Amino acid sequence: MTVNERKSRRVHPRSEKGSETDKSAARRVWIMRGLVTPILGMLAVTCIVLGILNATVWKPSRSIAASTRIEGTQYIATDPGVLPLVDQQVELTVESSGSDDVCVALGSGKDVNGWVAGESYVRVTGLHDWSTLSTETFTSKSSSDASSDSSDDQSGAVAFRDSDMWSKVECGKGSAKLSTETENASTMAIIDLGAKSDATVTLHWVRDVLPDFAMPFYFAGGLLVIMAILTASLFAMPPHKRRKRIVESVVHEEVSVAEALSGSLSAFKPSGKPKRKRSRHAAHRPGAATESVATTSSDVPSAAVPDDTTGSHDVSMAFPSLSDPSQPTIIDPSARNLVADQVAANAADHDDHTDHVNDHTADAQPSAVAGDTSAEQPSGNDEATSVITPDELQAYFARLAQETSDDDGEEAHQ
Amino acid sequence: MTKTIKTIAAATLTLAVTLPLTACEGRIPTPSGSDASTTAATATPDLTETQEAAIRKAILDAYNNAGDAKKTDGLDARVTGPAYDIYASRIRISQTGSLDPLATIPGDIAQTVIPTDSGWPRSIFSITTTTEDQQSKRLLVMIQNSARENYKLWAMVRLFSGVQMPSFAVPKIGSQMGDAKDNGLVATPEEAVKEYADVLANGAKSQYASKVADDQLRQKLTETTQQVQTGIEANKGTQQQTFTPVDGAIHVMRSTDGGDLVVAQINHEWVRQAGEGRESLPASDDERVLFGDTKATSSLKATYTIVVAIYVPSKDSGKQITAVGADRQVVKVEAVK
Repeated sequence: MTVNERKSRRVHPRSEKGSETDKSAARRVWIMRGLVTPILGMLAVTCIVLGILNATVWKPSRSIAASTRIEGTQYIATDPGVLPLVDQQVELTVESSGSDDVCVALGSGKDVNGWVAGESYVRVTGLHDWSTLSTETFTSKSSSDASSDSSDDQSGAVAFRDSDMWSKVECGKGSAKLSTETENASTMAIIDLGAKSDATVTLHWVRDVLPDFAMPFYFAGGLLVIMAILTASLFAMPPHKRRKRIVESVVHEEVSVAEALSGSLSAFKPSGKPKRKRSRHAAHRPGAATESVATTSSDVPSAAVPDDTTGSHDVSMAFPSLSDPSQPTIIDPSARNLVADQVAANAADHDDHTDHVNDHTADAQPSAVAGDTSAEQPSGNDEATSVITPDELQAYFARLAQETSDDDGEEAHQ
Repeated sequence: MTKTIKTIAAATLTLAVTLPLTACEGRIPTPSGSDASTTAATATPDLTETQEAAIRKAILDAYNNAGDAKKTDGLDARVTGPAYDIYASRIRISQTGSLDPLATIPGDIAQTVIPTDSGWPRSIFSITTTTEDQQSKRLLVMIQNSARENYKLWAMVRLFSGVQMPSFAVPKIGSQMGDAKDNGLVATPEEAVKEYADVLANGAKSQYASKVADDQLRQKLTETTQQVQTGIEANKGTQQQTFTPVDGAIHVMRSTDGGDLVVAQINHEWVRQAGEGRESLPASDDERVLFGDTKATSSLKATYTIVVAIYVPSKDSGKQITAVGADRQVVKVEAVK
């Protein structure tokens, strides 16, 4: 069977399947453009709408006010880090149900703890939710002892508002308000209600930096838009159109890898050197190649490969029959023993190889490196297949691979 | 048709799930500094420089008001310990004349040493500038006995001219307060004060004379004792001096060079007996004012309060215990039988 015959055989089924292929392609296009794209588009629109809503109507409010009702205590203290919880700028308001003077002061943690030492007090520990403060009651174990102690050392004691320890104090009748910009996270606020009573504590922050919930939606929306465009265009394309390109590039790459390898190898060798090397090898082991090739006709090619470099005159002596054109030539590529051919070719090919290496370094080297599978056939049957050059043969194999996969692909789709 | 309905239902469901999630304020923040142990572990200064200035101003206002009024009313709210004794005495003496310029405390400071200790009592050491009349700098020791009390001036020490003060950490870092029983020094602060008192009493004959460097207070006392001795010898009288460190009246600040700056109170009792049946009379103007109209006897006891600032170097420094400043004032003069 010639190459042309095979080609015509393969073209035939394809034309048979043409209508089926078109059908599947049309269906694919419909799925992609009619179903997937609108869904993605809808999601994209939803995301963008949600983004816009988050940037406008649902935008987190700048002003956060959280409060809590505290009962039956004289002292209330915020934990370190509570004051600058939402923003550095904070306003603390206390409204007491009692009629005593209410004072709010800022102090360091150790000063506040020192002041309330031995007393039970309420700690404001943080935010329970965005409008409620969380609290915790701290009961001093020695509060009863401390009350007697404190009455003892009342002599030097100062009023809450007069203490040196506070960096800022605000007092008022029944309520007090203190605004501050806390720089130190350990700064605490302490509230003195004057006597045990109930109070409402409110912390009010104005946020400088708002959380941006819109951007993730915009981003997702953007991605969905891109995906929608892709599904409508690239993914809606019949697969063979895309695959053809891929196969072609693969074929090209296969060649180019071999080319690159051999090319780079040959680049290291000056053109004059190989000849000298070969002759030296031949001088060293004149019978080595002959022996190995002659005794093991079924030897693996790798064993014979080094012999490529031996002198051509040795090989021609060992296999005079192969180089003899008087033998009948059978042209049937499918019924050939490739291994035997290869061994024969290795021996017979030396003249060709030498020529290849010397004359067509770029073209012939890859075949030598790749195991001589493709280059031997033409070289072994020079006359019969003289119409096909190694390059043409390679191109043919590439086409074959492409068409086979094409057929497979089509079958798979059907 | 059903497909459309399904699609709409799915979309509605999706929106219903998504919408409540979107309209929120963000994640609720938790206090980062809520770990009280970490904030306590990192030693932070007890006060800012601004607070120190405010405290010093409050103290000096009370101090100067009392001085101007020549009355000690309300002085105890801001002045305590030996500083109160000395200043009260000076105010009393000033009632017959003018206030001793030695009592002056400049309003500006050259340096302040702020403690990092969490507990009480706490003490701030501040060094003022020189006075307007070019007197030496003052070292102020302001103490806070408990959290419910305010800072009070505990000692005012006039630094000796030309002394080399130990170095302390800057106020933003803060220094560690020392203890009367600090180790690793040539002597514990408490012992150092005792040794210094012994040197004051015995001069060069003290067993600690070699450990304690000479200073202006020692020179002044020796000089005064000599003068009094001359008079007493003429009267065939005698004199005895005792220097007693006051228990617990000691404040210590650790310097960065390994030593401690110790400010302590030493009571000085000076008993003078006149011979040959004569009366023992006050030896100075200050003593005379305090003695007043008391009937003189053959024996007179003058009680002086001495506040001394001593630098106790580290054991391996090879330096001597050195007094860097002092203040001394007669607080009581009485006739004894």
